[in-house]
Amino acid sequence: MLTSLPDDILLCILHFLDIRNLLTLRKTCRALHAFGGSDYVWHRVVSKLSIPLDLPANTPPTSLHSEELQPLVLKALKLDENWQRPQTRVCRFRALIDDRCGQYVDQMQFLPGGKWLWTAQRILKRESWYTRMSLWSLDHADSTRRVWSTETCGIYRSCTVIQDPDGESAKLVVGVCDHREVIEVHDISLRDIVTSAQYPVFPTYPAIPPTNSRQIHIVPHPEAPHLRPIIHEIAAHDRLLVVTIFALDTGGGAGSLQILFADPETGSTKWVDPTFAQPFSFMWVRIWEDYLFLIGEVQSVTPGEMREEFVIRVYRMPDPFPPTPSRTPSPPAVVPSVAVDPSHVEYAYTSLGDMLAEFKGPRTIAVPGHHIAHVSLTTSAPSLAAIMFYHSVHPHCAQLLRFSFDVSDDTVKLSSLSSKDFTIGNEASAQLAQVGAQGVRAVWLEHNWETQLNRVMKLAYDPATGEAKVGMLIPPDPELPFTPNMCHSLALDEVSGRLCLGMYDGDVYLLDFV
Amino acid sequence: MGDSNRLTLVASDGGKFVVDKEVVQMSVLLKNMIEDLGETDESIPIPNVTSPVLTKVIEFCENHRTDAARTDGPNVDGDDARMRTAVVSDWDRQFFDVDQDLMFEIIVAANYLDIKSLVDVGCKVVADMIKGKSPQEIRDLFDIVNDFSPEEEAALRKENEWANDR
Repeated sequence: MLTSLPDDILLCILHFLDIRNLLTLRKTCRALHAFGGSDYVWHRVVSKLSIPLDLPANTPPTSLHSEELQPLVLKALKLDENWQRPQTRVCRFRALIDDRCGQYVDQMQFLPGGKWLWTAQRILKRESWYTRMSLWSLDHADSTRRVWSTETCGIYRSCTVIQDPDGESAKLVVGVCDHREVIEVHDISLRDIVTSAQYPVFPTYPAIPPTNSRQIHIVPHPEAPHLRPIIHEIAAHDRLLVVTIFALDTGGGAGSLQILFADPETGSTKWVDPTFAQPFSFMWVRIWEDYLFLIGEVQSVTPGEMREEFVIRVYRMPDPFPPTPSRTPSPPAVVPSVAVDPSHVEYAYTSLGDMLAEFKGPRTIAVPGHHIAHVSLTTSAPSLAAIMFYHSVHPHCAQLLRFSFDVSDDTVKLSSLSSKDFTIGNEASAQLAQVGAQGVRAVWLEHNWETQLNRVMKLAYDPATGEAKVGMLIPPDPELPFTPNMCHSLALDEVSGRLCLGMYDGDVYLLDFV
Repeated sequence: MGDSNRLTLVASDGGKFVVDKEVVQMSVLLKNMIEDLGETDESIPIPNVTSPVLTKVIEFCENHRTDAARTDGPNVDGDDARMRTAVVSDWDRQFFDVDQDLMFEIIVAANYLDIKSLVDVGCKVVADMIKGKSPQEIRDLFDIVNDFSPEEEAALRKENEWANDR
């Protein structure tokens, strides 16, 4: 009889069942219910699962019990199934902002886990532009609320949030342009926000002020005063900001990408030797632990043809602002006694050091390639995903790239690389692309030039089979209080499948697909 | 007797089976036993396995003797590699086309004798029988008594709503 088989045989049988059949078997009798609900069985189920699980922060699945894992696994499967179906159902939608104030959100992003969202809203007051940064708590589905907000004079450029490992506090770093380029750093306590009940529920505003904030001014390099810096993107490490700058040549030359280090505590800045960014025609900076990733496109050395390839260069995170002896009375480091002209120190470019590794995408792309792209790097494991759309080739094509790395000390090796090519119609182009860091889900807004209609598109990649499905997530005329034609900004949390859409009229909607 | 390439196995009911050593060695248990015994003319008792079951086990091993070398390799990939290699061939399916008691007895005997490929194929056959069925169909198939209380059943339905609505 099935129920009287020895445990190891029963385990072997369960091993050959998928989750759905395992759950059915559990419903037959008490003995099989208990056996099929053991931690051992579910840890094995989770280890075989190829879709991401919405686990609490810093929690390995094996530290959870089967009763905790089962709902998470079911949720992940349910989401996956809905995401893969031709007509994905919107299970729930809520308005974060629906006052049609016209002060629209330029950019927004979920913090890992999809429980927090920041928005950068463009505000016109007394004929001046302001940027209103807000942090939203989405933890409780029915009481999504703005828990923190601040206004900065200037037009929004870029933002990043660094969460402390304990998840109790965060640094919100925002770059704005107020005649000159400014970076503001705000320390926010996430714990206060979670535990305090006195803070008003949406849409009341303003909420609690930041516990601490400071400004960093980005000024041109002293030796290149004609290069006007424009903040492109900010990446952050707990003790360092890495700012990608577009240096606009006011002297009429071609602009260039540059990298600037900034100390979020002291406000000191240091330019990186321009030769590091120079090869890239387009570049993102991502940081994983103590490694700096320069990701982008570099002209390939194909003779007689202009082509570009996707390149990742990895460096060890430099320490451009070593602590001064007065601040940290640590034993003096052995410094090589080289005479340095003191007047030259602040002019000096800083180096990224030796490149630890370089990785390339599987193929080159003809240029000029007007492309919309997005890259993400996971926080837990060193893996990276990129999505690229090339509108200058026919048919318009796109590519999903997924890299994962083995990192140990001074070696970074590629442990896997997968890529998926797909095409989009020639009459269509993509905007606002967002890919999750694990590269299993991506979304973008597709504009059709013939019909002038937008729709939100989705990609689902299955690491187990290597298949990618591309389809429509939200049609041009959804049964929702908005249409994709009004969409101006977009955020995706790959794991929880949450999508947030910002409209031109200022409204912001949160959509759940599970 | 005297043929060093053959061995005699004795089932729990006394049934005697003369089998090629190569075939017997698909059982890790017997393989180790033979190595411990060295050259011997003694027959090996299999106290937990009856003649009808042992007949089937030997039939399986005789049929799969040629692919023994393949499964003998280092098992570095663990469970997942096993899962991939456990392909149920038509022959295997027909082999397990027996009454359920015998089927389970074969799997239990294979487990005792440590014949991995037979355990895997057997478990896969059982898993295939479970797949796609409703709880009641599974109960009917394996003679399982539903011992849940109505309250427990209600709780179960809630526990995995998603699995039900498909």
